[in-house]
Amino acid sequence: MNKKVKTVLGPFILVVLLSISRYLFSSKMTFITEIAIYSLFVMGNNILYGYLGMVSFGQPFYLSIGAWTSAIFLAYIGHNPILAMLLGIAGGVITGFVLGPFFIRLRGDYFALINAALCAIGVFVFQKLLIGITRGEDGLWFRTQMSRVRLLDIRLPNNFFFFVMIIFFIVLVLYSHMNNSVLGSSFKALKVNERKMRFLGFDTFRIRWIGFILASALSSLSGSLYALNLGFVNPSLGETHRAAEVLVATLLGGSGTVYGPFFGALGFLGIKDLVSRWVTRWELVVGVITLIVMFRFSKGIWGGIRKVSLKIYDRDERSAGRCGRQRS
Amino acid sequence: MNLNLWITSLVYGLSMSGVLFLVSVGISIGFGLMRIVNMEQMVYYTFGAYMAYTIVTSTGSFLLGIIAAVAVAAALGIIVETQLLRRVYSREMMFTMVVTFSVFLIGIGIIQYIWGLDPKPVASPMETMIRIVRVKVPLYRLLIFAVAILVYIGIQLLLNRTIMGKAIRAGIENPNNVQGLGINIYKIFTIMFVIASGIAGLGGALYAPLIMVGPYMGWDMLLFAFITVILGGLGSIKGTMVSALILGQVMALGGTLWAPLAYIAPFIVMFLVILVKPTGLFGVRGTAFGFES
Amino acid sequence: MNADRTNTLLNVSDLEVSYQKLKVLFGVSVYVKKGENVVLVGRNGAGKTTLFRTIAGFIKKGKGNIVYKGKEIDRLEAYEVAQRGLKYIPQDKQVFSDLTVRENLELGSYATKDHEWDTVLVHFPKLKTLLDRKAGNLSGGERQMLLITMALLGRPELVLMDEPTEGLAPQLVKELKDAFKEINRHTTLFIIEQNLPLTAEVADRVYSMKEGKIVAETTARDDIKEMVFEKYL
Ligand SMILES: Nc1ncnc2c1ncn2[C@@H]1O[C@H](COP(=O)(O)OP(=O)(O)O)[C@@H](O)[C@H]1O
Ligand SMILES: [Mg+2]
Repeated sequence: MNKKVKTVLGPFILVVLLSISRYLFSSKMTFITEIAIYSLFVMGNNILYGYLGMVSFGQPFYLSIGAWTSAIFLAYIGHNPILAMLLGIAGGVITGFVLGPFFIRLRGDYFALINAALCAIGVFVFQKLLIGITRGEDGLWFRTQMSRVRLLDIRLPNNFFFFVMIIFFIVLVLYSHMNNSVLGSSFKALKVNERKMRFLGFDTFRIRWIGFILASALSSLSGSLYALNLGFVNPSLGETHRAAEVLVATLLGGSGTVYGPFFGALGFLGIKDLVSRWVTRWELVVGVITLIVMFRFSKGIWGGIRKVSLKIYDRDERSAGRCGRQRS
Repeated sequence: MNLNLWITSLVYGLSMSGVLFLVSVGISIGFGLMRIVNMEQMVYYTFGAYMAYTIVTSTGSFLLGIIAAVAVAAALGIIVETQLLRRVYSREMMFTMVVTFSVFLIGIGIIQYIWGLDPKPVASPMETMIRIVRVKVPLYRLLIFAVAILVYIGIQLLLNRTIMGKAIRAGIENPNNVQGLGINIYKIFTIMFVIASGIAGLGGALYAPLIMVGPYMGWDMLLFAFITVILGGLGSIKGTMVSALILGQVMALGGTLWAPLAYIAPFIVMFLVILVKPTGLFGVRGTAFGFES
Repeated sequence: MNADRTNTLLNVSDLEVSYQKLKVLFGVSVYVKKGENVVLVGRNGAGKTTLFRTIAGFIKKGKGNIVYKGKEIDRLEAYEVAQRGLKYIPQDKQVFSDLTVRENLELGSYATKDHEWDTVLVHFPKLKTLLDRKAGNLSGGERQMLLITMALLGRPELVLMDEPTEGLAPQLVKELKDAFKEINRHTTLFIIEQNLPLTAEVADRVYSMKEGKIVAETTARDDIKEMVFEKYL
């Protein structure tokens, strides 16, 4: 019971805090929207890196699958943005389902690189091969095609903000649920000792596959929301360069945790925002931060926050943790 | 296709093969010997190209530019290996992958700081054209390939004829057993690393006159280099050479057919090869790293 | 248990080792005296290999000490441990398969500056006829012989062997057993064995390991002969 409340309460508090900050810093609304959308992308990568221990240099590909699915639907077929988003997620699930069996049996380094290749191929396909549909570099514009949905007209930035908050809340609850479920523990156990898992009779292939599909689905959801937010998509969304960013954000926030990705997105986009005021390019800063995080703060921002708060609520947490464990 | 086009494409491909071999041999060695994915090799490549730019523009001597490129790249290699990589050899591969990637990003940042964002042209060291079966082709492109072949022969001699080379070959197969004999494998790592980074710098300097030198030139080359290494197989220098030859021609022919293919064809090749044969074409025996089998 | 500890060559005390979060050794203490042939027995997964690899410097320990010839060696790199005369022959019987037998031995000499192959090749004269063969083409037994010979270059004082007879034909096992006795005249041995009758024949002392702990030490000659250590496994 306690755990179930926690699963919902955490995400709720976070979303409420974000909504409050939207009013406190009203000029920052689009920035907060972007953080939430980017968080979803980081959450996808976090399943691969943080939970399963797989590095992918091609996550932008899965992002662009969602973005292009939604964009193409809205530009040519329908008008309903929510349906467009659902189709985007479906695109991600199908991609993960189809590519999974081929990819996840690869060794770690090859997995990372085949994703990079996929990413490059993806950009090529959307930019050059499908230029008739995607309009190549110019990008595909569809803002005017989007229709009003009942209850919430998400064409308005303010409404879109709340729409994203609702999605973010739902995903966070599910994510938190996954973290506490057998699936989440299987992911982590697999990362530590795959051989042992196999001996114990777990179908490690399937566990990885599920993780891969989830990662792909989250990335494409994020891509869909990016598309809806901007009202257009162009091929640069899927560029290989961006693979580095999401990896860094994952590490920065604290990998393998539920809230790490949010803090990673916040920290990363925040730093990018600040740094880009001083220097045009921020590779140096990102590289240095990543190294520092890797060597000094391997638990990331969220790990740091948790450590501090654990110290404060030391006794509470420990006794609660023990009861919870005994019951489950 | 007429003969003219065909020979031009062949020569273009050979020069690409040369560059690919020079920039990827270090990654191949890193894969095979140190069992790390050293993405920061492209820093040495980019620095090499920029050194060529700086020296050629200030002194006019391309040879000096090359010497400076190799020296600076090797020096950077020493710094990175002894100060950073040495601490991460024992960590899991994912960790070193992200660490070397960060070094790559930092390298790009430093280059932007020193040379700025604008692409720089490097004066061509020679305009000589020579005839191959009545078709005129640029001699410089052939020279790049010749240099790569010389480097290849040099590495093979080192590996096969010297005791140090034998230790390196043994280390590629099983670094633990080399240590078990009492050989300081870290000293060998440093030596090989310096050689590798110097060669990557050489690749950058040689390629510089053919392209615009820019801070991001390492990005695409990083992926091409990985394709070369993967196609060639873990730790195999011969495999790296063969796959560089193949990829050079793939890029040249692809580009001749339809310009965008020059860029994307290698990725498609890599994609297919990994799926069909995850050990590459010339994977050498040895304990697989990452996931111990 | 205060056995005579003079001439202790290797002394491991309260060793704890983990792979990431998985603890594998729980306070292991063993010692080896100069000239002994100590055998470590235990089932698969007991942690025997982990113990040897930790002593040899390939795995970093959690807690405990490893003292060799009176000096702590647990912070040394594996090659430094080997240079001090403590050699480890791994379980996997991996020679450098890409090199010839001669080149394999050359590497052993390069590492130790010991070029007198004749003195080590006496144990396995057969290798002399195989010098130009690729090591990858040797049989399992020949590989093991090559590995032992390489380890003996540089005259180590203590050699750790991880299941040297595993998977070998009975005739070869007998050959190795005789070689162990010969080698043991001048070199201290610490061997992991699953072959209990063989253990009973060669061991001066037997440690039984179970689930990451030393559960018994068998010292009496008669007990070893009767394979008392078997009942602890
Ligand atoms: N590299 C490794 N990573 C994780 N666990 C390991 C590794 N090597 C061994 N183990 C685990 O440690 C335990 C002891 O293994 P090991 O020392 O090889 O035992 P033994 O040599 O007695 O058969 C086993 O449970 C094994 O699964
Ligand atoms: Mg074992």
